[in-house]
Amino acid sequence: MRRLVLIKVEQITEYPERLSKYFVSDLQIRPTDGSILLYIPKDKVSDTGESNTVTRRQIRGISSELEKKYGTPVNVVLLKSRKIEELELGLGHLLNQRFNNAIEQFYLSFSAKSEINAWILVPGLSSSLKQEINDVFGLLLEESSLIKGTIQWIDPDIDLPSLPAILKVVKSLQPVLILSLFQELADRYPDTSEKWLNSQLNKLIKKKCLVRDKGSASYTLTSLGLNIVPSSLNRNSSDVLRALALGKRKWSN
Amino acid sequence: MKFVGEKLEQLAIHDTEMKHANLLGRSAFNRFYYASFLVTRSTLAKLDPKWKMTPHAEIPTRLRKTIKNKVANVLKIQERKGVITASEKGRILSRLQSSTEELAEMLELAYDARIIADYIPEELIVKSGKIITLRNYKLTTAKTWPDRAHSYCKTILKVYEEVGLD
Repeated sequence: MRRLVLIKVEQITEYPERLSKYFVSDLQIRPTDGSILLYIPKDKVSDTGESNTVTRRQIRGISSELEKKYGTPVNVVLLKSRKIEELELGLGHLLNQRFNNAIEQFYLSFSAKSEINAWILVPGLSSSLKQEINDVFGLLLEESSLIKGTIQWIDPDIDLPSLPAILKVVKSLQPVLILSLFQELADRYPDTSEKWLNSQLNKLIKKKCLVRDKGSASYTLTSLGLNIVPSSLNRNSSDVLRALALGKRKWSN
Repeated sequence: MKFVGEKLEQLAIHDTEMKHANLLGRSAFNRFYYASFLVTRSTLAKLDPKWKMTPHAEIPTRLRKTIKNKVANVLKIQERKGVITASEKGRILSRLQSSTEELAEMLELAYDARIIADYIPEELIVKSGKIITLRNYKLTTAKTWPDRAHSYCKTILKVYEEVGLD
């Protein structure tokens, strides 16, 4: 077996002087594969080249330069700032104080545009509580002169299906009556109502993705609708689900 | 695995013998990394069975590029055909990108900590009260890696579902 010869930190002549322009705060050699590791504080990285930051493009540039020169891969580790960790902890405590410890998980990140994105998990979240948390979170950020980015609500059961998701279910069950479609969707999206679903189906008819048979009142995809539903390779692929639904229909008759 | 990590952390905090605390703390870092790695890999397998055995080093690229491109292509068609608007497309892509980027960055950090814990024994754990640190990495932060990975993965799965890919 070939023995891995590791380059030494002292051999990297660009470190620390030149690399300090890229905010590289530490450089190490990874013992498992000999790659050069550049440590950069995440709050010094931007997409647009704001002052006193380094862009992702510049980091890619210097990485590829070092790779060529030293003949070894270069990996970048972005260090999360203590500031964001403390903000996450503080805001999490404040929100839990306000909402009786309803928040189980709360994570923050700074986006490239210096916006704060949040991931929030509240078990059994109602739409009114969701709105309240959203408002209070926005206020807290505003008070701290921070910009609110997006909130990702982690519980997947609280949302309504998107139009492509509805098309996908129609594809697997077509021709399908609204009641069967509603029953299928309600399992996965408990907030769905028949009235709401009807309005979404009308939208899809207007967009020429669906047709409704006047006699049977069942819905079927048009060729445009079929083209929109993506075909993936996973077990929930629309083609696999369609085949399973056809099989089920055949054997239950 | 997260459970094992938490037990190891507690043992490390309460063991007064520094030699033992060092070994226990390092193992805890390892367990927390693997817990988050496995959560991510099982999500990748749900998105595409071919990604089931994605090696550690390839995961960040898969998250940042492959997944993003796949979803972006589907959204492009849906926007062109008028099923979604340009702003909806932007909103979905931005949700996906923030989660894939956060997850990729977190796994890179966690992998680095795990390599130090497993392969650089001369770098010792530092204990200050209940806070255990290995180089720049705090065990209290490492403990959140598996749940964070789970949250980011849920968002990615949700986007896949929203665009009709899952």
